[in-house]
Amino acid sequence: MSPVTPTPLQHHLHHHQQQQQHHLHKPTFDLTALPDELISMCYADLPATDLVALEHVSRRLRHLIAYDSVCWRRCTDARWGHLTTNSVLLPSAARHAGTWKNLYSEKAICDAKNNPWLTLCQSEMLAILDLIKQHPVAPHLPTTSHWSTTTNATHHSPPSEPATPPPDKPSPLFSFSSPASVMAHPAPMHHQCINIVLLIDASSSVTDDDFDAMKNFARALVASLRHTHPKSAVALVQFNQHPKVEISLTPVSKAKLTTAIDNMEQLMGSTDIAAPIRRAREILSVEALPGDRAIVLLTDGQTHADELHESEKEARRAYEEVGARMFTLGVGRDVDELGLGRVASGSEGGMNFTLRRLGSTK
Amino acid sequence: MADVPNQINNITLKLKSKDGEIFEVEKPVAMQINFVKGMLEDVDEIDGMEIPMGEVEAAILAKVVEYCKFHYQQELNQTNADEVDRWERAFVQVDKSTLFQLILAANFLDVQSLLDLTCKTVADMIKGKTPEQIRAEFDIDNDFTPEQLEEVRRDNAWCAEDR
Repeated sequence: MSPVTPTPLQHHLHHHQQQQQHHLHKPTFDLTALPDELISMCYADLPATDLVALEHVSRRLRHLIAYDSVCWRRCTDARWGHLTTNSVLLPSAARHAGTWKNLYSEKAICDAKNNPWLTLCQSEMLAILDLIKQHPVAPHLPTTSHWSTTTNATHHSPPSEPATPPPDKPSPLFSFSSPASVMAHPAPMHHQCINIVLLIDASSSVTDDDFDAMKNFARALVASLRHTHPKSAVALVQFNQHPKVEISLTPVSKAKLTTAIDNMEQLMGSTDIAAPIRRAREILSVEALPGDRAIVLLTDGQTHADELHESEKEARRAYEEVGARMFTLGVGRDVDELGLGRVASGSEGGMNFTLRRLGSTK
Repeated sequence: MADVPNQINNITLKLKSKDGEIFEVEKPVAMQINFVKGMLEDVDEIDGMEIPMGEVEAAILAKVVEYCKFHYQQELNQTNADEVDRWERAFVQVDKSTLFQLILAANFLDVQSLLDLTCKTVADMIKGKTPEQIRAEFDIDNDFTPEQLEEVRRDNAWCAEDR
C-alpha cells in the first residue's frame, strides 16, 4: 500500500490545505467521509466473502468493489494462482470475463460444480484458445520466406531502416507467453488460417470423464476457429500405443469434423506419446499448406521417462521441420505437469496447461 | 515514556495544528512524518521553526505525535513485537470519528505505518459481518432500490455455495 496523493508539499502547502478541506472540516467522521482510495485501502486485504458482504451495503460500496480489479485480482491469485501453469492465463481470462470479479465468481462456480475436480472455466478456455490461435512468426519458415533474406542483417535494426519487415508482421521477438502482450495486442486474426492436429490420449488410464473433457475441448477449439479463423483446418488423431487418424486435415466449416469428434470411441490400451507427435508432423508436412501450424496434445501424461524424452525430441523436430507450435493439455488424476511442460517447450510459443485435475482450492 | 536521548537530536520542531495549537516535537520523532520531512528538505535553519500541519486538528495531531514518539522509542529500544502489537491495539481503541480522522491525517501527512494500522483496524471491524451488521457498525444508509439490491444479490449468488 502506498499513501494516496504523495505530496511534494513544501511548495504547495496552501493548495493542499484547500484540497483537504472538504475531508477534514466536518465535525464528525464516518466511513463515507473517506475518499474512494482510502476506503479501498481499508478493504484491500479482506477475503472474497467480506468483499461481497460490503457490496450489499450501499451503492457506493457496490460500485467501488465490483469494479476493483486490484482486490479481486489479489483474491483470484491467492486462491488459484499457485495451482497450475494455468495461472499465466488469468489476466487474459479476466479480459474475457469482463472484470476480475467476474472471473473470480466464474471460477468459484466452476469449482463448486465440479468438486473435487479443478477444470477450466469458460473465460480460461477462451484464453487458451486465444494463445493457440496467435501467430508468432517463426523466421525460418516458408510462409515468411522474406524474413530469411533480411533476418541476419536487419532483425535488430531500428524501425527507420528500409529493410525492416513490414509492420503488419509480428516481430519474431514478440513474447507470446506474456499475458500482458496478449492483452495489448488483440491479434487481427480473422484473415489468418491455422492447421491444427489434435492428439487425444485414448489409453486405458484415461477415464470416461477425462475423455469427455478432451472431446469437449476439441469441440470448443473447432467452434472457436469457425468463428475467428474460418479458413482453418483440423485433423483429429486418437492414440494408445499407436496413433489412429480419425479424420485428416479438414476445413473447420465441414460438419463431418464435429461428427468425427462426437463419434470418436475411446481405443483403450497403453500409451505412446511420441508416435502421435511424429504422425502430427507428417500430417502438417504437406508442402502447399497455407498458414500457421500447431499440434495440440491432450493426455493424462502417464508415461515413462524415456518415452517422455522421445516425445520432447519429436516435439522439437515438429517445430524445426514444419514450424508446428506444441500445446500440451493435461487431463486426469495425476498429470505430469513438468514432463508435459518440457514437451511443449520444444517449440517456440508452445505451452502446457491443465484442463482437468484433482484438487481443492479451499 | 522515556525521553529522547539529548546528545545529538536536541533540535525541536513546532508542529502547528489547524486550530492553532503548537506541539513541540524532537526532530527525529517529527521526521517520521513524511510531510514534515519534505517541508524541511530545502530549509537550512529549522530550530524553533513553526510548521503548519494543514487541516489536522489538535486532538488528532496529538495522536499522530503520540504514535510517532512510540515508534521512535520502539526502534531505539528494540521493543519486542508482542509489546508493539499490544500498544498499537490500545492506540486504535478510539471512537470511529477519531479513527477516520486519523486515516485522513495519516494519508495527508504521509505516515505509512499509521495509515496501514488504521486501515487494518477498519478492516477488522468489517470482517465476518453481514451487510446489515456492517451498516449498523458504520452507520451507513441502505440507498439501494429493491431492484438494485436484487441485482447485487443475483450477481453474488455464487458466494452462498462457495464455502
